[in-house]
Amino acid sequence: MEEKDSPRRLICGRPKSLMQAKSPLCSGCQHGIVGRIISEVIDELGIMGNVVGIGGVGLKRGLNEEAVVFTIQGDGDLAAIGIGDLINATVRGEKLTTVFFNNAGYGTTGGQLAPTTLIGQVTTTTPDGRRPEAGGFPIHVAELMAGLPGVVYSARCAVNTLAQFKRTKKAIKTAFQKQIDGIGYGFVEVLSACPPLLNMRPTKAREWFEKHMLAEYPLGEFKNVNEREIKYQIENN
Amino acid sequence: MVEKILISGNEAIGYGAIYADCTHYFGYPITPQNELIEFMAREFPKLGRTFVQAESEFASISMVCGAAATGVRAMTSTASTAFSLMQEGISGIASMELPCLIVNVQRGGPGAGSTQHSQMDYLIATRGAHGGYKNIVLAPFSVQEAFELTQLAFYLADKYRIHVILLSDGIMGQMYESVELKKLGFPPLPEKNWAVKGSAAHNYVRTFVHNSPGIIGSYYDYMKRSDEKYTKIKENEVRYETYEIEDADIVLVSYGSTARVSLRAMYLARDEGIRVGLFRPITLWPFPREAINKIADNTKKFLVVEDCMGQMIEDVELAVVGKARIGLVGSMDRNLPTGSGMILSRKVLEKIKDFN
Amino acid sequence: MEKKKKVIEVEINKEFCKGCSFCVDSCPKECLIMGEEINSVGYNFPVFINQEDCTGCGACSFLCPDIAIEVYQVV
Repeated sequence: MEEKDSPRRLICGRPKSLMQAKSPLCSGCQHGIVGRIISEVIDELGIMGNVVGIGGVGLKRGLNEEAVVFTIQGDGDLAAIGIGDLINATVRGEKLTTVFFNNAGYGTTGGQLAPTTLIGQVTTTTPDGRRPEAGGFPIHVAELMAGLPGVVYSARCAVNTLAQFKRTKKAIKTAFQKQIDGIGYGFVEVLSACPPLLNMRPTKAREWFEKHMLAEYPLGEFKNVNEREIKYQIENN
Repeated sequence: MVEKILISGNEAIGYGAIYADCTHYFGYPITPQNELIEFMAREFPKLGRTFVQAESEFASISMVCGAAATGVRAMTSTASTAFSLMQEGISGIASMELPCLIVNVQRGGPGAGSTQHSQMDYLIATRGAHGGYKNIVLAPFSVQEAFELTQLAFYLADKYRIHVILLSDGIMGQMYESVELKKLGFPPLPEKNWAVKGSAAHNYVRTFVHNSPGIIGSYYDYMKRSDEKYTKIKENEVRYETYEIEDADIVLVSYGSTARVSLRAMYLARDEGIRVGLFRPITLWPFPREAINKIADNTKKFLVVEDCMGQMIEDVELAVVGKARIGLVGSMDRNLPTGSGMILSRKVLEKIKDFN
Repeated sequence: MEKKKKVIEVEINKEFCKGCSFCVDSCPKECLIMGEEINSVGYNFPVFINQEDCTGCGACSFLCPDIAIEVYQVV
């Protein structure tokens, strides 16, 4: 331990804007990694002090123009109850960044069916696995968002490997940058596995994730434009 | 000279908001409050203020929540049906203790009900949604008062860090009267050091609002703070008006549009030599319980006039604690059995004579 | 002449750790193992055992859900 006093350079560690506190999440919850990425992006863009984060549905218009506003949302408040609001937020042309945590189920409430649950996946409300006849189909939000006119950036990422971590960080940074530049709405869907929901140990859940979730949800950028397109406009005098 | 203009009750609320420096309005069209959202859409952008037509009332209350969290004066308006839709958002606002104004221009219910007037939201407005919170409820009975109470509402909201409900109704909203436009003066307000604006605005100390008390601070602290706040409001903010109650044998209790009808009925009764008075609560919460209790020492008959099947009557019963008899003139006494039927003063007079 | 090897130190905040072992899995050089010891809430936490092979890629730190790992280069 004598080396502690020798001069050394931090390669990677806790981002400055992330609070020095123990994470409240379950063991192996990759949401913590995404939180870290957002903090790193905030540090790198130098916007700490002018950022407002929102958990769940709700919009903020009361801030000054330069404020950077992002929302962190999950399968329920984004893909189920809040999807109408999400779509309408982009339809209104809000300049926001949304980071969507897709873990194929409701983690906080104890592992029930979400709109993003995979077909065949067992949850507490689909004990025999999700069947399309009864439970419907998994929703692909990133592709849906790419089709909306107010959205200028839409991507789906993962954080299961270092390479994916770096891609996710790039995607979130791009989305923030587009908001800062006043271009429009950025959307980043981050896939992760919820170990308690799957009733698996964290490493096993990650294997399940790589096998099944990546098969259902393709990763990649679905939209990346620098201007919002207006197809037709009526001129009023 | 102070400007005097002829406007509707709904527009008066809009003027009130402008005079109260409300900067953010979010709403969704619903009858009978449409004049208000249309007024806001017309006037707010001209003044550089924010108007957003939301995709639903739930979205508009969420937007009010978000805007209020940043410390600006924000409001929304709606009517009964969608006031129900807003309840979750209002409960969230209560948990975050965000000052804002919610206008409910009551229409008929339940369900989609009628697009005409009623006073059927008294209980939901004063009792609120889940979670046992309280909110200030103000009820105007003239267009002038609608204008003034809107300004007062924003002041009280900021003073106590609480949301205020302005309970109007279809008749109040559609009625035209001349209004003296003047800005009311209020004492200075506490600084909003809790507002979420990015930490740079607060010397890099992060601010939070959360809709789950106990995540930030303890649940006990939240309850204690709320309890103290509610007690203070009950002590200081009770407002009401009385008309000829000193010698009254019968006191009418009524708010909003039915209070106007009752006032007329009171004068008709006085003309016939029946000693009738009128008690008009302006704050429905806090309800002027003690004032009514005091009146019940002398007057042994109370007639509650409200356009529903009896809601405020429960508060009056709690106020008089058995000291007087209480009767109701309700929606069963409308002149027409339809949505547009209303309680007329001659019917109130009839009930006064019958009430023995 | 052999290039001077980087000396890396990995610090683990054992109280933040929840024992998911993502760091152990993600290390390409097998420099970390899950230890026998437990922290105050009962989780095993990883131990840095192989300073020789560590390249300082940061995978363990970046993929830690609890942001409990810091990687330093001795200069």
